[in-house]
Amino acid sequence: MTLPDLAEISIGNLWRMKLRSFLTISGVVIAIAAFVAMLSFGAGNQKYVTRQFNALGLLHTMQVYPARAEGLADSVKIPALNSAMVAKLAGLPGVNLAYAFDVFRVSAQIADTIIGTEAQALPAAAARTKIFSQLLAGALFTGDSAKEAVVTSQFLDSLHITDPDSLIGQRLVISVRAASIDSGMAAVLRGGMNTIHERIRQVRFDSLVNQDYLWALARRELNDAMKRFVDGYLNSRATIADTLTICGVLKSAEQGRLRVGPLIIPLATAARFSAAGPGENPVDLFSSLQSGGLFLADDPGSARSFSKVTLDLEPQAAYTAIRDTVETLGFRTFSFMEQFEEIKEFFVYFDLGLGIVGLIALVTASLGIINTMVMSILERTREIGVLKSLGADDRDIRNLFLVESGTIGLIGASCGIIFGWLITRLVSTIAQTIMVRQGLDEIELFALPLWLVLIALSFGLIVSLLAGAYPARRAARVDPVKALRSD
Amino acid sequence: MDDVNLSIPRGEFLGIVGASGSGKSTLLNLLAGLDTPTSGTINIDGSALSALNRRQLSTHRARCVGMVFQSFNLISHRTALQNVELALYFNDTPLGERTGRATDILQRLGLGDRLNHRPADLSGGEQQRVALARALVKRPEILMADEPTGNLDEMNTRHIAAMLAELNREGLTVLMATHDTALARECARRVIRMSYGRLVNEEDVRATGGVTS
Repeated sequence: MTLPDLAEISIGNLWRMKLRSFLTISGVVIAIAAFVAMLSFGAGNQKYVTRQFNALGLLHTMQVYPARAEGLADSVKIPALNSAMVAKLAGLPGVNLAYAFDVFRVSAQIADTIIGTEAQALPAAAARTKIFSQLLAGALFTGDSAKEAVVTSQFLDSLHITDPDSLIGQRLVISVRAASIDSGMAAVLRGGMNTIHERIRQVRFDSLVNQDYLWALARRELNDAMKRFVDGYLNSRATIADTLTICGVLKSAEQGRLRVGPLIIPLATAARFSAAGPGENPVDLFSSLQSGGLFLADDPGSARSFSKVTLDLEPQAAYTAIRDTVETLGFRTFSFMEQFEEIKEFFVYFDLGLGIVGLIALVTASLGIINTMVMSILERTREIGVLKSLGADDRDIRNLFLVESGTIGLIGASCGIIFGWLITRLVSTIAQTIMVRQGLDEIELFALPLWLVLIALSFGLIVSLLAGAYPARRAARVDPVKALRSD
Repeated sequence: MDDVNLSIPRGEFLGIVGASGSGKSTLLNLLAGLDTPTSGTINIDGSALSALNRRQLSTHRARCVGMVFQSFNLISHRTALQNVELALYFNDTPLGERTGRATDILQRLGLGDRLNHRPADLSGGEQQRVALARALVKRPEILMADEPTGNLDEMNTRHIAAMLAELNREGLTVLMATHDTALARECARRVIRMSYGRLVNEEDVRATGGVTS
């Protein structure tokens, strides 16, 4: 018997027993629909993450961090991630661009509204990378010295502005209340020579030979100098301000370790803010003390250390070689590519877990197929005898029942895929409505890739064929003589 | 069955008579390859059926043997035409020829207007003619009819008997098991009698074939 013959007889038999066939196929439909809906959720999330990584060009990006001091011997010098090092990293083979994560606190004024926010100094070349490509309105700044600024949707939220276009062309006054090292220094020397003279007079020179007195004197003077320095530093109120034009609004990006400041200013324009020395925050003071750049008045910016440098890599760059080189220089690295591999691995297990749940449902449905096929043998024993009398061999009869169970599986899987897809559409619509109401970005939670369709069809077919194997074997072994005598 | 020695020449019309349980159907099942003897041999055209495996026996039934049963054994959900076509599924008849051949044989047996009727819509005589068409459509060498008129009235009995005789005259070897000795003597050239599985009597009924309808 040819496959079309088998198919014709099988479909005829299923059509004849409409209700039973419908119920059996329904079991497969529900199981496959559950299987598809669950795996579709995994596939949708994987697709979303992949799209985000690709849209932001994260797979060709490497983050460089200063080495941690913990665990290192005191003699080991931790290299500074400063401007010179940024330039060196930019020169590595395969590196398109290197730029520091240079963030500082500013006051931003638009019309009558003033908010405190973080500003990020960014070279114009970096602004053209994919990370900064998701513009909601306007354009990126035109050069490193442009008196322009790009704000993010996070900045808009701070101002309660909903229309990004309304900000384009608006004047933005940026000001920094930079603490002045000079004022700190001046406080130490407060009172001038008279004060110094007065303090010298208080020294008991005859006791200087006494080491305890000498140390006590040194501690007292150092303590007093530090007190006056910090007092002078924290109470300085030097303000640096500039007026910029908002040229673009960028979508806020938060992807693991990727963070884009609410306000982005061209590198050269931002230099006078970021190089102004530490801000009012005492933490900045200690950071500058640690980096050793606190008193470098000639070019404070050159000695600044950054918490992070981003490397934009060429698409075909030897990622491992670059990572090894950077780590040899004494820095830590983080790659979104490695994170992406870990995410992909997670999704494999996630999909596997969901798939197993779906398969359990499918195995349950297969019991319905076995039941249907066994009942079919009992009802069609005489027919089997007739077919054998006409020349059907055991293989023909076995194939006939296998094709019948396979048809159940194929129809069930096909309808199940459609049904599962409809379920995902319904859930997706509800989820997106909730997302919109909560002001979140609309995310497509589900995806139905071709591989999922093929796997669902294959599983439906394979499980139904396995379910039909026993009844088919039993049907093939029916004795034709007894079958022809049966009622 | 026991101690049955029988030789059937090509073109023979053999009537097998006997009471119920005498072994008539068993003899036909053995000759058709539906059943296998525990001992002894069956040779058809010089080939021993016992030497054939199950698959070869199926091929033997598909190509050489046409069978007709007392209870017709038509498949209830298939039309007359589809029932007849079914016999061509197993002997490699090309798909394009099946409907034509099935239609021809049904028309020849007077069922040209009943092609698309299901068995339940046909009379007993018509059902048996469909069964006969199903047996003949594959152009077998041997037609085995097991009580073909057992469920038919007098008129249909004579009609079927006449058809079998006609087919025999055209050269087909016909083996007909029946409990109706008169019918067997009327149709067949030779009649054997079975009793308790043994061949107890053999009678050459007529020198020449022929039957009155």
